[in-house]
Amino acid sequence: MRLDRRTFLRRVGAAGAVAAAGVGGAIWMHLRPDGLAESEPVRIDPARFDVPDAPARPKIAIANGRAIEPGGAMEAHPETIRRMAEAAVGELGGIERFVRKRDIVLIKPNVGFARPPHIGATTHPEVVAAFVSLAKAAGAAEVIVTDYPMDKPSEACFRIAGIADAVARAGGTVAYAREDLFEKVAMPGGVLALPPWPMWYRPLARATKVIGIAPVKHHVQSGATLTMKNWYGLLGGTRSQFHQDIHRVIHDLALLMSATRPLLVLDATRILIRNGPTGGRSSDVEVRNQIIAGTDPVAMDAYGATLLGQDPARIGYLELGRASGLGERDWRSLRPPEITV
Amino acid sequence: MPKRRTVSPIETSIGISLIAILVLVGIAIGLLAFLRGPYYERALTERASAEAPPAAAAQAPGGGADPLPAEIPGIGWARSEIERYTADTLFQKIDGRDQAYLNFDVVGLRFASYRNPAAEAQLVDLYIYDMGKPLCAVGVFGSERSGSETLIEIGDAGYQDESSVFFRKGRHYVQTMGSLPDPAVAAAARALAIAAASSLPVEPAAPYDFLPADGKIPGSEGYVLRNAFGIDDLNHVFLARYGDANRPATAFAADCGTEQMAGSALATYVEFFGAGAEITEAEIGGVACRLIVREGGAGGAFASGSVLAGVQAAPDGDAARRLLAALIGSVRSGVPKEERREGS
Repeated sequence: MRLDRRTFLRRVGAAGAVAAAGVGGAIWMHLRPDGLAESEPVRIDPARFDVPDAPARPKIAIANGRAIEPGGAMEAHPETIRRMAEAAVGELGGIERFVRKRDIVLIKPNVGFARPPHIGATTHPEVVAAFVSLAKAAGAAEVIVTDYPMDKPSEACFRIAGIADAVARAGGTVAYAREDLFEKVAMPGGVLALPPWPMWYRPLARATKVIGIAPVKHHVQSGATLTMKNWYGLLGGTRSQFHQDIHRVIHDLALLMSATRPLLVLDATRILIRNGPTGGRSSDVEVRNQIIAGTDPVAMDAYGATLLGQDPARIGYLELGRASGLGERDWRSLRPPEITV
Repeated sequence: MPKRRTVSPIETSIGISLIAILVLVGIAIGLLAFLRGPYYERALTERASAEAPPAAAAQAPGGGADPLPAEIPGIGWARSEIERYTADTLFQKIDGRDQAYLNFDVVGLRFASYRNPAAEAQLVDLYIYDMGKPLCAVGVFGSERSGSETLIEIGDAGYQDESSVFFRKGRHYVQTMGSLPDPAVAAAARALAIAAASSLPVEPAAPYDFLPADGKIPGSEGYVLRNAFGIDDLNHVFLARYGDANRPATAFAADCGTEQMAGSALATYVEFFGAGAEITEAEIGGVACRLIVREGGAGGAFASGSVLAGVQAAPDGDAARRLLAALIGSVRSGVPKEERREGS
């Protein structure tokens, strides 16, 4: 078919307009300001978290459950777990020191993977429930439980880990992480001087108190997952690029979260002694029936490392924490009280 | 003036040139985006890219049926979407644990979940790791064992732990992990493991006949790809356990490449493990050995040609000597050298 000039020009014009619109759109999509990238990073305001100092109180307290048997594997009853939690926090001044009436409490357990509770890869659901109950009893207006699991969807992880049900029973709410709602958070100077980093910040933005409940787990890269490493679960972005710097990142995150003056809890009801952090075998797990509460992340984690048979002096982030003044690595020097319930 | 009704060659050229320029601009933008590489904001949705089948991990392993069947045979629980990860993206699935597999040069992971439609809490996760070669599958399988498990007949070696099954076959390491310590879930995990095992290809077994056969605990073979026992450059080490399964001794052997390197590795080994122990020299089977004895256990090591071999955690000096003697005899025929993987 032979085109006349008018038709040709019309078609070239139309094709050119469509192509130009497509290319223009591509340029706009490529160069447009990204909301997350361009937005001002949020900063954690320490003034929002008014936990009083208690110099007369210990910085770490250990509660044992009676159900433990020498060499046995009998787990503590949920009621015993609740009393262990209460006793450990009681030594620090009671839950009222950390939660006041009308507080919005954020609890950060470890729900990193879709693993059932008995595998020890996640925080024990009854320990989470115990602290939800304690916070509610202290008058918290709301108790939010959150984490950003590796496995997806988050709802399945919380359900399989038994935490969704436990939180609901105890009167709390689970906030499931949504990647589209991550926000850039300004990092503290720390040792790595991280740029503002995407975090699951939204629940923290509302919180007036924070409780971190970490399981005691072997971790193939950092040595151990304890209270300091527990905050890693709030990170978004390409976490893998931190692998070479994992100790420094863990330290800096703990430094960041120390601004919230968190109540720190180590869930050693059962501990994952090998193949962490995912685990997978009941033979990787030891029942200890112990809950440790405190305010010194370095001392807490140094003690937790000993439960895993590790030397705290050989864990990089504990050395960084000691050197920066984040806490005391020689946990024995703090003379933690030990209670049996 | 009469209207022109035809298009001149110049006008045609201009039109084609304009369109070509626009296409080139588009290509240039795509190229720039590619060269710029990923940036972290994009990583917030990185999971989507993880689910795109990467070249290495997406390939079928070459067996018969699909090792990730659409449902668990005889049980019927249906499979979720298959997730695929390469060594570079493995962290997206098992962040923190990925290093344990990277230590053995993992190639990829395929993952799927199988759920009981009648009971939401009952599910089995299937992980199939392609370790690249059978020795690396032996290595990672052995590294995750506590040693107290009872082996079951599946793949090349495997065991069941409550509702989960772990086995290796050829270059693959497979885990079927149940969500509950429940008989129905355990049965599903086992059925799924059997289905996966029957679908994965049979490959030549990793060689271990140069380690002593007498007293070897079945299925106790291990392998360390690099930096064995925390010693730099002690690579490609074969291991097996001997004697009492509750308190086994370990025999190991590695070809260090040259006699000089084996001698150097022996010196490092003895310095590393001999700290605080009584070290003596003894000739066993015509080979000069270093015996390392401490309270509660004994071991020893020797260099023979390019081979470094030794014994750890024997109950006493005599037991260490006996196992060393057997080891000296068995490694005379040589220890396999490390085969470099293409591109490594």
